[in-house]
Amino acid sequence: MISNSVAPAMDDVLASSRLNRALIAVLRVGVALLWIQNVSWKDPPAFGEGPSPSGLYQFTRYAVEHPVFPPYSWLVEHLVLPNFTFFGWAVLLVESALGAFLLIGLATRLWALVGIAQTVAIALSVLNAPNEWVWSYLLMLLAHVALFATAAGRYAGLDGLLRPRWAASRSTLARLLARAS
Amino acid sequence: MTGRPTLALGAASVVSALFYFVRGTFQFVWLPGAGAAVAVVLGLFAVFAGWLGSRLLTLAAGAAFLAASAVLMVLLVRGGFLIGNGSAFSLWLGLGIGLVVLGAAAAYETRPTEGNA
Repeated sequence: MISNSVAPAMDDVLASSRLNRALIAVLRVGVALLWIQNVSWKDPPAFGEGPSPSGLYQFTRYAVEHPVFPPYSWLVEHLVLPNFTFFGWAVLLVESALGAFLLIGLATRLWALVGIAQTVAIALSVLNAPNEWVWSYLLMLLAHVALFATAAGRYAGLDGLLRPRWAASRSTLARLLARAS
Repeated sequence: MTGRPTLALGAASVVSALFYFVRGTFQFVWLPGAGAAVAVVLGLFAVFAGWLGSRLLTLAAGAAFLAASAVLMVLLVRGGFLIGNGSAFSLWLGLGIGLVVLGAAAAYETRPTEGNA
């Protein structure tokens, strides 16, 4: 009973308000810019690894020096840091893709989930490091939750433009994209 | 399909060149002079493609952005920051993917029409 009456009301809020749809697009582009700006200090191919550690390597090492969740610290110490070139590239590519896909609003709900996962990984690395503000990462997490919950790519994004044809198509890729949007 | 969305992505690239003049906290994308020039030239190309509503030009503009991001990454690995850093890579990757998807979707859209003509 409640779900039947509340769901259309929620849809109406977005359908009837251009301002609300625009604000969701602003949120999406803002989160995209967060990732885009933060790719700028992930410098390949060393990613800060070397005699005087810096950048991504230093921040990743915080997971061991200032543990948040001991099993994660163990994983970083024994798997991530010894193979840091691979993980550096993985971080660079995932965060670049997060910025890219959220910016254009393509497969937004999928990338919102990736953003949640990446935010958790970052938080588990640096949450207890000096001068970190816990709410930075909680807010980052919540922003991605909002992108997922509102399917933010459907407003001024490619998801909104292409979703009707994905939904009508019988191809597997189109169905996957419809679910990811 | 390729009109206004393509034009919007091209315009976004042209506007992004303004980051050349921004310093400090709000410099979301780092673009040196050469990178800003790439953003303007490729952005205007995409605007032109959108204005004409041409799917081939949209695909070409998308491919050009993807090529620019690939060149940027090669330069970064070699330690050069001639046209930008990772932030420009991410931006151009998004614009390139977006334009290619729009061009491909337009091709799909025009197929039945061409068959009926």
